[in-house]
Amino acid sequence: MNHTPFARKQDLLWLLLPVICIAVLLLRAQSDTPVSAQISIGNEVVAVYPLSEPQTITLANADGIRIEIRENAVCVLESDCPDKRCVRMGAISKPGEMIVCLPHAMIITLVGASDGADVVIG
Amino acid sequence: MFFRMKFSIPALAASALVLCTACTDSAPTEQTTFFAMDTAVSITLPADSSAQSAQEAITALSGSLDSFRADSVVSSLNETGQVTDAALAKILSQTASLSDRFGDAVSLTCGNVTKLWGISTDSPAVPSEQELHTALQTVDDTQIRLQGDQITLENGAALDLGSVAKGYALDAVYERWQTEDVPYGICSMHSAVLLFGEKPDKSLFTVQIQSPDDAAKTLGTVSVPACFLATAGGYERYFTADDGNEYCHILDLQTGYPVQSDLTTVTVFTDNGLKADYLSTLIFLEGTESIQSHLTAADYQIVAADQNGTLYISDGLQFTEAPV
Repeated sequence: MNHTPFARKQDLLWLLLPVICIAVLLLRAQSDTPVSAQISIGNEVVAVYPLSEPQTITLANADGIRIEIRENAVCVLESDCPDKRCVRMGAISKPGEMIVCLPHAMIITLVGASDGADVVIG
Repeated sequence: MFFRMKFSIPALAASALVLCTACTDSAPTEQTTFFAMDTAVSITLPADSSAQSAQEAITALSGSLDSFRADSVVSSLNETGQVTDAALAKILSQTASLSDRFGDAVSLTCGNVTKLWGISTDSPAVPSEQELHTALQTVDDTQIRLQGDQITLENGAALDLGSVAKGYALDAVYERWQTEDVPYGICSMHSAVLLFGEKPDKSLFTVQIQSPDDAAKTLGTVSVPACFLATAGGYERYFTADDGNEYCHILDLQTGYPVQSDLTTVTVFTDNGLKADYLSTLIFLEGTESIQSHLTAADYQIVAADQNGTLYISDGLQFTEAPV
């Protein structure tokens, strides 16, 4: 019978501590959520699409608008609004940027990990 | 056995440090977006602060200050010639002080003229010379009488607060956040922004200024501490008339027509929202003619671009031009 066991209870604690630290760091890295396009109509969020899944969307309550989700960017492909400012806006790719269509009361904004500017003014 | 007391204390300290760093290096924020004052408003606050009071303040002002809404305080004043309203009185008083200093290129008595153009409505149109001439007669700051919170307009003058409303709304948000001890926040009304407090990592706020030629491009980036900023440019709001011309929403009150400015965009940084909003419009209206005096002003800073792409940047403003 060993009188010095391989791992005493206190030793287990010291072994666990760095493991816990690494786990916390990894979790924090993952909790910086991937960037998503958040679409709201009339001040209500109607859909959120991660940019990692490219697709083209037509919204249920604004079927004259086609939105394209690309890797790293989102844009309005076409819209039935009169001035088409939302289409002319082009693609947005950084959290904080917005595409707005006033006639449809639609806002597309990017949410998630921010590595860009705090705000865009124009 | 390699776990010994002499290793365990440093190990514990190191672990504690790692855990502390991991937990505080990026405090989560939440973004709230809604429509008000004919624009998309975006409020960013730490996750444990509420955007409700700011949203309520802005929405309330959006209702009361809109001269194109029949039920607003401003419309009531324009119709009847008299109203009592503390917020409106404050706006008029502050704007009057600015006009004492900067002249009357910006005037809130432009209501009859902006109504003719209707640029933010569904049916903008080019007014006739005759209509404009009549409306221009009523553009006159001396027709505003202020007695405490009571406001009287004389001789058919009418108000449009478009040049200062967003800035004033940001001042209202600022007061709310001061009272609520909000540590930091950003309230963006797209062409007017409040940068409030101090970020947890003590870094400056970074602001990207949109290119006037292409909304998807950037003119450059500014790094600033907490302040108010506002941008004016003809590209923001305009309509294409039947005659094929584009008419922007910033009117020259001498002619009644959209201004022909040689500046394409102006952004003003200062310590008051209404002032930032007012000055961005003023400087855009003036063009490059008086820009030197604005570049050397002690109480505000600017970034502007002219039609040749020349940039005008106040000394001391940390501006980085975007790569072409």
